[in-house]
Amino acid sequence: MTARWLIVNQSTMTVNKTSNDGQLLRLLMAGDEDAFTSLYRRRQGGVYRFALQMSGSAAMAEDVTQEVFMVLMREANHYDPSKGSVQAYLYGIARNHVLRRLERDRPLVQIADDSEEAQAICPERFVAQGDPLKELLRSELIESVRQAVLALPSHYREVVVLCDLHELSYAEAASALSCAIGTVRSRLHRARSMLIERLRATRQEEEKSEEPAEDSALLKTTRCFA
Amino acid sequence: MNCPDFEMIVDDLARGRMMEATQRASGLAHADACAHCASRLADERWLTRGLRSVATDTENNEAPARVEAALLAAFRERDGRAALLNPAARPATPAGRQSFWRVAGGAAAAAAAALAALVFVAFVASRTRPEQPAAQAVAERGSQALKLSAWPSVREEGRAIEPEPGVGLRSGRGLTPQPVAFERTPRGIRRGAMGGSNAAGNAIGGAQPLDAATNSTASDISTDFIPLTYGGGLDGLDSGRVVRVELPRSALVRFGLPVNAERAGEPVKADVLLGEDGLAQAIRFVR
Repeated sequence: MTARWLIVNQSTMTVNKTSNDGQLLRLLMAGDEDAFTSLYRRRQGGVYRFALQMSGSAAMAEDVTQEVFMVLMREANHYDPSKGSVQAYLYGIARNHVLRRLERDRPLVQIADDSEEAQAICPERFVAQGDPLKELLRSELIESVRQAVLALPSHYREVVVLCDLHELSYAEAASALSCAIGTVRSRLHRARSMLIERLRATRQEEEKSEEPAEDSALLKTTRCFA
Repeated sequence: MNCPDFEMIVDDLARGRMMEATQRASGLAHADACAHCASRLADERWLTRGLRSVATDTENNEAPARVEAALLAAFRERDGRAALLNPAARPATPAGRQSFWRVAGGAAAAAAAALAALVFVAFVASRTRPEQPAAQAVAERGSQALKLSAWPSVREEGRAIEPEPGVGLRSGRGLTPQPVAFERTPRGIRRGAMGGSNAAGNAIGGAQPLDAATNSTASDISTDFIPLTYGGGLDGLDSGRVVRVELPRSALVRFGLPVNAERAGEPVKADVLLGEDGLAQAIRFVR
C-alpha cells in the first residue's frame, strides 16, 4: 500500500506553497530538496516545541528535531497515510527519541535552572509589557504550569503536550502515540487532574493576589511610607 | 446529567472542544446546580488558561538555523549517493531532475578526481628516487586535472627531511619542490608547512620552523592526522611520504568532521600520509 502511494502522481508534482504534507513527502522521497526544505520549515517548529515541552531542554529539543528529520530522510517510506497525518508521524518519531533521551539522561541531575539555556526557553519572560504586576503573575503562572507538566510521568505528559499545548485532536494524538483514542482521553483526564492538584497552591496564591488588590496595594504603600 | 456523567465531559467543556450542543447545555446546567461540579469546572478552566499561556509563550520557539543547514547537507549527501547507486530513484519532476543531474554530475566528477588522485598517489609511492623524473613526467600530464601535490619523504627519529627537487608537483604552479615540516605534538602531528626548494633540513622530531616569507601555505590550518582504519597508528611509522589531494567535501563526514553546507559542492584539501609500503596510514584535512 505504501509503495503504491509513493508511485501515484509522483511524475506530475512540483513543490508549491499549497502542497500538502503528503505531496511534499512523496517529492522528498524522490530526492526533491525543495520539498524537504518546505516540509522541514512547515513542521520543525511543532517538533522542536514538542521536544522542548517534553524535556525542558533546548539542547535536547534541537537534537531531537535534527534526528526526527534525519529519520524522515531515511525512512520516509515507512509513513502510512492510512494511520494518520504526516504531522502525527513526525510527533511519533519525536516522542520516541525524546523518551529514549530522557531514559538515557535520567541518572543526570539538571542543575542549570538559571542558565542561558533555561532562559532561552522563554527569553521574553522577564520583559514586562503593560501592567508589570500582571505580567509578573503571568510569568509565574507559566513557569509553574511548565514545571508541573515536566513533573508528570512521561505517558501523561505527552498527551497534555499534544492535546493541550499543540491542540491535536484525540485521533491525531492517538496516531502519534500509537494507542487507542480512549487511552488518550483517559490519560488526558488523569493528567489534568494531577496538574490541578499540583497547581492548587499556585492558583490559591493567584486568587489571593487578585481578590484584595486595592487593600493590599494600600497596605503596601502604607508600609512603604511607614 | 449526574456528577459521573459531568466528570466524563468536564475536560471538553473546559477546553471548548467540539461536542454535541445538547450535551454541552446539560453539562453547564448541571454545573449551575451542583457546587462540586461547578468547582470542578472552574479548576479545569483555570488549568486550560494556564496551559494556553504556556503554549502562547512558546509558540515562536523554533529550531536554530544550524539544524536546517546540517539537515540540508545530509540530504544532499544522501541524495547524491542514492542517485548514483540507484538510477531508478531519479526524480521525475523537472526540478528534481535538475537537482539530480547537478548532484550526480558533481559526485561523478568528485569520484573521478578522487580515483585518479589515488592512482597517482599509488604510482608516486611505488617509485624510488632514481625514477622520480618519470613520475614527474606522468604527473605533469595528469596534474592539470587532478590538482595534486606530492612532497618528499618524511623521516622521523631526528633525521632530516631531504628535499627531492624532482618530486614537488603542483598543477599550474610549475614544479617547485615542496619540502614538508612536521611538529609532533602530544596529540600527534599537528601542523604541516611547506616551503620553497631552499627550505630543507626539517624533521618530524624537533622540527625547525620554515621561512615564512618563502612559505606559500604557512597559514594552512589543519586537523590532526587521523589514523586510517587499516593502519597501525602513527607511532610505529619510521618514515613516510605526504601527498596532498583534493577530495569531495563529503569525505569530512566520514571522519566525523562538520561540513559547511554552503560549501558542500567544493572539494576539500587533505594531506595523506603514506607509509613505505605505499599504503595510506593517516589523513589530515587542510584549510
